[in-house]
Amino acid sequence: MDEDVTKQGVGARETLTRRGFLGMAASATAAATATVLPHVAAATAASNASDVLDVAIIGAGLAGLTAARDLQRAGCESFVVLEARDRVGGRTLNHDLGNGHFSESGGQWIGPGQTAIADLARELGIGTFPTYWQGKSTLMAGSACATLELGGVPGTDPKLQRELEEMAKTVPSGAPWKAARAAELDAVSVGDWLRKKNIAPENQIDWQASMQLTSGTAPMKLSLLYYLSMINSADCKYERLEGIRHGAQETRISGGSQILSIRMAKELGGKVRLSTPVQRIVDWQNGPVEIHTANGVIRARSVIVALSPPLCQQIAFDPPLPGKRREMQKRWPANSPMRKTTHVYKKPFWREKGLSGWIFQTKGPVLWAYDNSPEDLSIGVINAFVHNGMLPADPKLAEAELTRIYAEALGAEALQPIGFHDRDWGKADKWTLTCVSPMPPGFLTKYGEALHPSVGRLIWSGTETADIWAGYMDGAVRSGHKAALQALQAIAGRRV
Amino acid sequence: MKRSAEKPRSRVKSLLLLAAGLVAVVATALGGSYGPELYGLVRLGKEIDQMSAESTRTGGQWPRASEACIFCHGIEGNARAQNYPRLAGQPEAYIAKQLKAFASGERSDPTMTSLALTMSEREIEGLAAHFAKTAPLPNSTFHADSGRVARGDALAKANNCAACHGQKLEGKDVYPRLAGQGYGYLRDQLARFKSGERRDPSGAMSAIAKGLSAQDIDDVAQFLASR
Repeated sequence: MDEDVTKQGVGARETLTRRGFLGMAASATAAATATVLPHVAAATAASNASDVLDVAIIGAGLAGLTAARDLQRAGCESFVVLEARDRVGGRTLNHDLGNGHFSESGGQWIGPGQTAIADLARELGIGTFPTYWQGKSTLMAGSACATLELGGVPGTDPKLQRELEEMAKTVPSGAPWKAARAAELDAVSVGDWLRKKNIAPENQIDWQASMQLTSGTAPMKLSLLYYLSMINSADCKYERLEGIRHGAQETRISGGSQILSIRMAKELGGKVRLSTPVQRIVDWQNGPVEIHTANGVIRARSVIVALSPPLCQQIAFDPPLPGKRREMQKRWPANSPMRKTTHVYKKPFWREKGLSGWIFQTKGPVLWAYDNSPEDLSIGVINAFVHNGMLPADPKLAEAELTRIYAEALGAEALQPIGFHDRDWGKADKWTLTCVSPMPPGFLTKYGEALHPSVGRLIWSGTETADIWAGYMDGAVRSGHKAALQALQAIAGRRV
Repeated sequence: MKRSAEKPRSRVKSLLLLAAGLVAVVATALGGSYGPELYGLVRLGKEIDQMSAESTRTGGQWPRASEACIFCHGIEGNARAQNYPRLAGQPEAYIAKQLKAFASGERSDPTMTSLALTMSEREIEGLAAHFAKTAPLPNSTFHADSGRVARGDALAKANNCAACHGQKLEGKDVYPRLAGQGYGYLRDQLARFKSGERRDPSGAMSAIAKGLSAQDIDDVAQFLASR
């Protein structure tokens, strides 16, 4: 029956609800609004029911579901969330290890300053726990293998860190193109900047690995302006961006990060429609907007597009989007699909040996392996970011090869995994194009301005649009809150 | 004081230096109990220096643009996952043509399109020249089925692949090297030529692929990957 409510849209309940929050939507946060309007939804009155929804949300990842949750908390019931896949969570994905344990195949960490997602977890009653970094890490190159205490932070030269931090103060995280020196900083890559620093070979490896993990590409292909905006997100503290301890990878979500989306979707019930890819969006300029899906047409007054910019390319817009927006979507860097593996062991045996379980390999398949054991330590888990093309695609071959590497790094106990999982996001399906956005020089100053502004009835959301922590799970939640406010304001505007 | 010539040292470097200097002393003083660990760091340092020198020799000074390619295409273009294309030893003209085709939209791929759009003409030329020079290693992670390889061999002959791709399928000019290419990648591309998703301006590949069944495509891919 939920189907009917959301599709037909609107009974008396919905109309009144919408009227109820008119005045407040523009000035209050959605959460605050919800607390002032507990009874609105129960009121009754005559309706001008039609089949047009107030809001359609495209994408049931953290951004889309947060927006939906805010709408509902503000008293709006006239909305639907359309999801292409048969699951929610977008770029977060739990792999079920059995017995209530999960290991993440997608985005998974939160850290200091990521208050939006931390608040969301608390509101949903979902716990958090620290990422394990204690002990010695294993560094491998060719046939050489050594252990070293890294202390949960990147071993980057402090002088260079400070230099980056100083520059980052001038680059606003949400709109790097507005920085005073934007043109100059966007004209060069992080690699161009590093080249002048005379970096020693072993430190080149540090830079290479941290760039790839944080920004999804090699230093030569990453805009300095963009990297500075990421450091700016981290309160202009390099270690807060790159570190595990005291950094953006410091904390894990109990039950696996996808649980946040699963929990939100559960509360939203039939409002979330899975396996409903949006194919075409018609009359987006003045509305009502027609949203053509594989399962029929939905009409809505506003649309929240909670997708990464390049994913918007998979929808046909009629009429076409403005040129600058179109060009931005087409050129947005989508070339960093990550590949993540999971090895399961009877216990985290490496911890007893004083090892962190971290492995960095030079010129090998393992970019970074790390301890991803569940909180209760009833099993041990080593997850790894692997170079997509450097490890055989065949799961048996992939498992065997990684197992040999782990045995060399962590000891013979590693030869007995009790489970293995491999996910290459570049090959899994077409609904996630990239993990992070490996922003090339020159892009933001040319196309950045087209990222945020709504066009017609379309409100852009998704982590890439966040003012702080864009690209992170926290940014996704922030972007969802913002989009909900914009949608509520649009509804209010139409009713005045 | 030539300060500018000093290399910034991270914790790793400092420890490696310390290890190199102290290894003998510590090993003696403590009866060798810390010996193996320090020795490991010294060896690691040496290995990294060697790798770095080799990379500089083949690809120029760090940081290098080609480093953005290795995640999918493997070290020096020798991918080990069958579903990613191997670039090692591909003809320069072929690589340049494909990168330009991705940028123009003539060829489409969610990963390569946006990446190719970031590249200047000069960068494309540099990458094409770099990978054309790298040596293609045997496709050792592919395990062929001999029966299917034999069928694929016959199909390759019947369709005269060698006419464009070279007697040893080593590629020439704008025609790619097929020998030892990734099995999954070959299968995908042939299927795309067949469906029309990938176009070949000359029409040759589309025509050939249209004449192949799904089983034929599989067999040809087996044969080519095993060369």
